[in-house]
Amino acid sequence: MLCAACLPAAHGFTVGITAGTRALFLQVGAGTMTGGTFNNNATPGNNSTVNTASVTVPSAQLGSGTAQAMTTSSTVTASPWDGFAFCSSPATTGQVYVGGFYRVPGTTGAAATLSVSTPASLANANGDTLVFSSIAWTSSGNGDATPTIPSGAFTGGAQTLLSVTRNTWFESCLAFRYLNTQMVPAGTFNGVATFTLSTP
Amino acid sequence: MKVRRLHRRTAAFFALALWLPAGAATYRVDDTGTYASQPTTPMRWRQLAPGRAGDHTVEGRVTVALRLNLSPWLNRPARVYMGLAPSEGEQIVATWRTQGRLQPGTVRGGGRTLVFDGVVRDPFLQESIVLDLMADGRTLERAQSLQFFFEIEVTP
Repeated sequence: MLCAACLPAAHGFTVGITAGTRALFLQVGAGTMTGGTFNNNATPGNNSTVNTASVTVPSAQLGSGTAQAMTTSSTVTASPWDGFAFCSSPATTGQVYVGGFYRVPGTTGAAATLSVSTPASLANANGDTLVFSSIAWTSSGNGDATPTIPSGAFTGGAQTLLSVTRNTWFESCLAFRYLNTQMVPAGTFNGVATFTLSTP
Repeated sequence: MKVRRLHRRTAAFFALALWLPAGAATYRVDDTGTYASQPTTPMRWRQLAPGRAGDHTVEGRVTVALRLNLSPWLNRPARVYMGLAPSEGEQIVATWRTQGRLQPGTVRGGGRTLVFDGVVRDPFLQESIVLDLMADGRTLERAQSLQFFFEIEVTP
């Protein structure tokens, strides 16, 4: 029996709540984390380091078509999520860690996009060029049966690597190689690949 | 089929009997003077990064100073429940700690939980509770107002 007629002044109290905040994180090579790893609520920071992937092709191998594994200046093996040794020793494998996440309230809406952009060519001091598509990578990660970021090659332009579903974590270790399919002038050829994680 | 229906009705009757003692009446409690420590509670991801385990919980905390007007039921045995109105979309779970005048507990949207069972000794019951709110952040899409209320059950 609900005694509606003899109710005293009925009230209640209201608590206003907000939705969770949006967040986006991308680490390519070196990263900065304060207080441990994400799973113990560490705080990520900006890291402006640009790691290198490089190779010196022996003269006898120039243009032989035998791919040349590249080494990297990155030393990152641990996942910033939990410190798990996700990449194998970069000093020997040349693996560059790439990982991040897209955090957003709600279940509907588009995914974030991981892309990479490269110029058409790498260039040496004399202005000689080498097409960026002559560099490819193999993707892997310890414990991953299938790599999250697919293996591939640069296209010398903007290219999409991965559609990052809302509220998911992604990571892969990219081992780069020079395809070595053409004769090129002597010199050091440089070019920058810029990875971007963008939200809708 | 008829027998089955009858059984269902019987089950419903007994469930109701458990909730409400024979002849008991339920009233909304006047909680004028109750206030939350902040007008809006930001819900934060328990894990900022959605890791491999996929923890998508958001949580927030607010302190609430309660003032329940129990004067109409002074010196009468009563049960007081704290309820949470059904929330929009996502199921909110509220858990609270008390200073001891009310019982701690947990309630989900659309439910209520016993916080007092005894004889009403004071016209006003004042208590400070720490309210922890939790939800799946993926489905909590926008700001919401959670409506809490108190009900009292007394036997005439």
